[in-house]
Amino acid sequence: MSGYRLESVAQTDRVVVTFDGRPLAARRGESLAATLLANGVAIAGRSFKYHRPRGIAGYGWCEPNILVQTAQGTFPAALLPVADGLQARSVNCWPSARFDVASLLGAFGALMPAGFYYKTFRGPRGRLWPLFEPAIRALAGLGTLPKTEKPLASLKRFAHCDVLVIGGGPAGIAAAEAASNNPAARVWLIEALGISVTAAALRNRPNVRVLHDTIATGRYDGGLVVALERPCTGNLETRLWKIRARSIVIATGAFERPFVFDGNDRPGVMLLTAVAAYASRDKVACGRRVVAVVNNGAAYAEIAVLSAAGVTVAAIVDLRAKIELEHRNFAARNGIALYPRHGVVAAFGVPLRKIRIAPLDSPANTVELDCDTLAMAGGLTPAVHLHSHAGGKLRFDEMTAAFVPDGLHDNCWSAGACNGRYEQEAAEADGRYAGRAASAAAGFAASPGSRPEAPAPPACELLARWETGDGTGKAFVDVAADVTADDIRLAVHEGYDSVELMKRYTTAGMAPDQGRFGNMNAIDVLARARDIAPAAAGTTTYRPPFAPLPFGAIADFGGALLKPSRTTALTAWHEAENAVMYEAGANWRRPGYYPRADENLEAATRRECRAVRNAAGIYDSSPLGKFEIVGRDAGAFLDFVYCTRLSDLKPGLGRYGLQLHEDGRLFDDGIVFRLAPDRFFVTTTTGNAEACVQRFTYARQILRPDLDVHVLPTTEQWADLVLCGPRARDVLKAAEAELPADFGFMSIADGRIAGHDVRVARAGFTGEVSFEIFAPASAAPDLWRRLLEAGKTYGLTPVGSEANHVLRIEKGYVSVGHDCDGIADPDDLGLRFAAHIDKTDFIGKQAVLRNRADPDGRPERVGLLARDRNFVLPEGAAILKTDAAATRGYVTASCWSDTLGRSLAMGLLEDGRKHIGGDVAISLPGGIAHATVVAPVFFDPKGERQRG
Amino acid sequence: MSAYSIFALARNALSGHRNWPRAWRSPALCGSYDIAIVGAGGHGLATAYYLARRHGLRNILVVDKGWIGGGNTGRNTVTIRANYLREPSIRLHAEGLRMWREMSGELGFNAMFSERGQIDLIQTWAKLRDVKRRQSILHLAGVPFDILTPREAQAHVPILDLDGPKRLPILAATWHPTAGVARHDAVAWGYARAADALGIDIVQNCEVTAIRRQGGRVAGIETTQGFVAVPKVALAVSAHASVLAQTADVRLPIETVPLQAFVSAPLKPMLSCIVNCPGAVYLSQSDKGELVIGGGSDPVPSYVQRGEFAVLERVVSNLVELFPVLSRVGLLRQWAGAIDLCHDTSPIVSKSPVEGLYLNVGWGSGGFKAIPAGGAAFADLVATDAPSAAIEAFALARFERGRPLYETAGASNRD
Repeated sequence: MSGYRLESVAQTDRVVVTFDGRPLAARRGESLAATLLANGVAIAGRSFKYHRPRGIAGYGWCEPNILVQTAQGTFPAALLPVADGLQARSVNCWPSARFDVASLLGAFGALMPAGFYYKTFRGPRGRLWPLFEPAIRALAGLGTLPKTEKPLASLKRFAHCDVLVIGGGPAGIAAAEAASNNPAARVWLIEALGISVTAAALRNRPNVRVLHDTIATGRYDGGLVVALERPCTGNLETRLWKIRARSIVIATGAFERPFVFDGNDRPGVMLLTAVAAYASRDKVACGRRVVAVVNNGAAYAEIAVLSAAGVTVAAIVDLRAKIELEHRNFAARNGIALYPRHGVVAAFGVPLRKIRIAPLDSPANTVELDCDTLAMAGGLTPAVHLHSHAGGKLRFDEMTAAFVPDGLHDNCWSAGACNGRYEQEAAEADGRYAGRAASAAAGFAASPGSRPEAPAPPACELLARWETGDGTGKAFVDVAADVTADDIRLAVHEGYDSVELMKRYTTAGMAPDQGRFGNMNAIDVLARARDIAPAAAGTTTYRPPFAPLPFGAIADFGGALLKPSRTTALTAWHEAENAVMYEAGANWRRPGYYPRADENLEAATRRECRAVRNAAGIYDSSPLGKFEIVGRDAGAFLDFVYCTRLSDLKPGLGRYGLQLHEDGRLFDDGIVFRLAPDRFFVTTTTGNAEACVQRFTYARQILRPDLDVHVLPTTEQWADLVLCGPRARDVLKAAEAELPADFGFMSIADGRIAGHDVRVARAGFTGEVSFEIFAPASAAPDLWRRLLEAGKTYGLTPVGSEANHVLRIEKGYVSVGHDCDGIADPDDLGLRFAAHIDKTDFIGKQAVLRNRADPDGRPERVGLLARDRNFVLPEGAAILKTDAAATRGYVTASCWSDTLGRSLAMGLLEDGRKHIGGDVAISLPGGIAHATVVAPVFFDPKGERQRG
Repeated sequence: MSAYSIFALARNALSGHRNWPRAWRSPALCGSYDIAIVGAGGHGLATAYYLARRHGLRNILVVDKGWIGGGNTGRNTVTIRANYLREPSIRLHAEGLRMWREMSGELGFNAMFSERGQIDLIQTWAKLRDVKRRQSILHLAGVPFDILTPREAQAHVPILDLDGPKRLPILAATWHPTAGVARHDAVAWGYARAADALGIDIVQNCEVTAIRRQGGRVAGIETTQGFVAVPKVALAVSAHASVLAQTADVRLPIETVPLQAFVSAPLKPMLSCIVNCPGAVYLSQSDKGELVIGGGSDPVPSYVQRGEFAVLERVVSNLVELFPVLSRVGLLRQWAGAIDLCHDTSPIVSKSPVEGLYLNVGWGSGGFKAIPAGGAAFADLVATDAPSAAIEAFALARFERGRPLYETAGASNRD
């Protein structure tokens, strides 16, 4: 193969690129494939399985063979635009594409039919695969990870339009024109290559937008089309478009089909459309002596393009016996030898040197033709990918021997070559119809009339035959995956005879080109091997993306923007005070502890706990979920959603309430306050606040539409500062709090603190006198500062969630996230007092009743006191059964308690309450710890302190 | 069944590979069998194989509406592990790991089980608490499972970026060295070939449309090729498990949702183990070099074997956050399976209220790894009518009794 340039490159466009260390003269902006061809680089890579030498065979998306490695990653050479200084290497070969050590494997090709690895590499007992696997892995794979550290610079854009036309060929342009006749219709046209859109008519229409260099990679349910743009300017490398259109016209064209014969993968064996495109678009001749092999008359137009460009076409091998007069005349006029009723039997040479052809009906009479390029034209295969991605069906069209879209799918019309209408006029007519129909469906045109009939079969009918070899040698159906026709026959012979099994057994269609080059021939070989029609064989499922989509283009922003953290009004203060911030659920971040000087976690936590028990503490509980439930039936609604009775609460009071899953497990807990007869204020856990929005809404809309109630999430509106400890009242006094005189435990009232209007509740999670101060988020920073100032003399200390954890264990309070194991019901957790089973109905009621009727062996919450009081049991440690081989529970929460001067723990234990007073063994990494089972309240069991 | 080996390959190479025997027959559907297994995926085929192998039963039908292994067996991301939370699951999958190591030898077919080990990356304290609990219980069961520092994890996963900007730092990792991957299709084919050799009929492209009852017991199955009289019907299907059971008036607590997976373009070896990351994304590298990546399921119940792009975006965002070096690697192919989920995310391997109807369903996203152990245990159940200790906990009755087997613990952050 000896490619050359048909035109010299203008001085201003000349650039130099390096391929495998060799400098090559190139034209700026052409594909690397064109550069390789123009410089006569015949062998540009090695094949996936056999490491056979390969060259460029196709153009654009149809090129199956050559991937190259650059610093930015691995790219198809035919899609990699050339820029000055580009450095590329061939892949899957060592030391180079021309001399590849692994190609010695080819000598063992006979031992490597389809699926050979399932039959060997096992060893006598089937356990030796790990010995073979590393070597096999090392031989596979194309390219390595990009060397650059720089992530892909990509952005996302979202777009809506009335009609989206995909593909800027004749059908697409006609469709866009027809669809945009009504100036109110917003029409978008996207074109992958950016070279076909020349229609002046579109350029002057303000309601049409054209995206060049943009490939539609997938169509998804709901009319979503995803497309990747490679902008030619700026620092942006890619842009991912997510486009939703009222209706879609797919005009993605068709691929050319190759032929199947021995050596059809040799460098120099190409598709005719590719050879013509390199000549006409890139002004590159693929070789000095081209032979074309065709099975249809339309291919002659491409051969004419080649001739006109100045490429020498030496011969045409036509599978058909009857060749149109005009084509015969064309050949004669141009001095091209014509071989009717012949097919190619084999190709020779690396790169290609000659081919052997033979009459289809007398294969023995072979003729050899010298050539450096063989241009194959086996008819066209519609690009039905986008139609199929979202579930569009296909039918087999006998006339063109190809699968075409079977009717309309989800407001999506296929038009032109991808609908089996190949000739320009037919494609344009089809496109015009599809454009009108799409516009009408989007409400911008009257009825489009009926679809133009497919033109009568052209005189130059296609001869539906592709395998022309004599059955010897290696005749590839899928060059990208290194799958031969014999592989497919073997698969059928062994029983892997449906297209899906064949695909998986042989890997046909699973290489980077995803079967664009070879799938139709694979189906043809399979159908003939099974003696069925291609229509009966069917196709495998087309999966997105049509073309590889870089992960960096799919990904949203990373780092802090991946899931933006939610900050409270006090986050800045916490951070300024060196708080160690924890992920607190629902993307909130909360202070874990506030280390002073050289304090570690333990020391800081102990200090903060002491402050709460002996003086006063304050913590930022703002992330807690908050709701107002309003309406005449608010009480009835809460009675239904909570297992706790809440409808009898008196205004101004609150109650601890539980929500259950339908199967009785605890879902969430929190305090519900009644503000007025028709108004409740509800707090939930941080982690479940969003889930509660959904749950309340579902309950209101679906389960109890009969109730007059509204749900208002107010989590972000309220800051929540919790002041607690024996000196809390003194702090409030110093902060000039105005609260009701008779403000008992579990009361809620509006008041003023430090000049701010607030809502205060006598509730908390520490077991001390607590004031939960709800203030507008905007007032929180000032309020917090003023409270700290007021509390200075009383030892007021900010505390984090670590201290909270210790304080609540001391009190035996349940933490939904810690103690429930996702399975415990209220009884299991010792919260029976909050499950009012006598209510008419509530979510989870039947399940709780059922569990009560069958109470044995349930996981019950207990306290655990380690025999060694200084030893803190590890959270998560298993509680053992007597035989030590199985478990009967685990430690759910554990801590050191300064207040009690010993370690404390809680656990879930099978039938735990029956074992109170007994001992259990707890599994540790290096042995066993013993603990006594106790009731799970360690400090102030009567709750006198918090009521005080 | 002729033995596969390198010698058989050499012998057949001499005859141009034209004389290989069929991997399995294409038998015609008979009018009656002793046992009909619905679903020719890994579970159905393994069940058939163990029924024949361990219980000497032969008159068995495996019937599928599509092709062998065409459902979730051929769509999953092949992670095989035993680092579960609940003891019944741990026991089953620990036994499974043993069977996986023996599988290629047992079946005479290279299923390519590759014990690569699994790294789980941990970014929250809640998850760290969860894995400490797992460690305690896994060690009791003899399953190796260790907690590593981020640097130790990086030794297993060189592409892991510890220093770049992250939403949350990596706090720790776990290492489960006996986890592995296998070639999913080969597992189905290996069991199909071995079951066929033991005389079991595998009928493809034949859809079971209903289970016919006679009073309280099974009478047979209606299929697109006609009625088959059979006293024992074993359901080993995924997406349509609840639909088929409903035809016998058995309501299953199963919801079907799409679960997506995708592969990258093939690369030279760069990842030697399985990595499970926060944000529901996990990856391993196939022998062909593709990164095989999975994530969480789609949010909306559906039988469609296609996924939403938004779910892909979420999974890939988490992937690129942890592995920015992958941002230039291309997504090659995405697909989805429809998975059958029980709300406690554990399977149902159980007798049903209808005599003669057996269930091996609800495996959700975790069925592939359970093919050998689940299939063997299900075969025992179908053959003997009594559940073995391995599957007692997976009985349908656990829902009636309020004893769900939640695999995902109710772990959340401190709040």
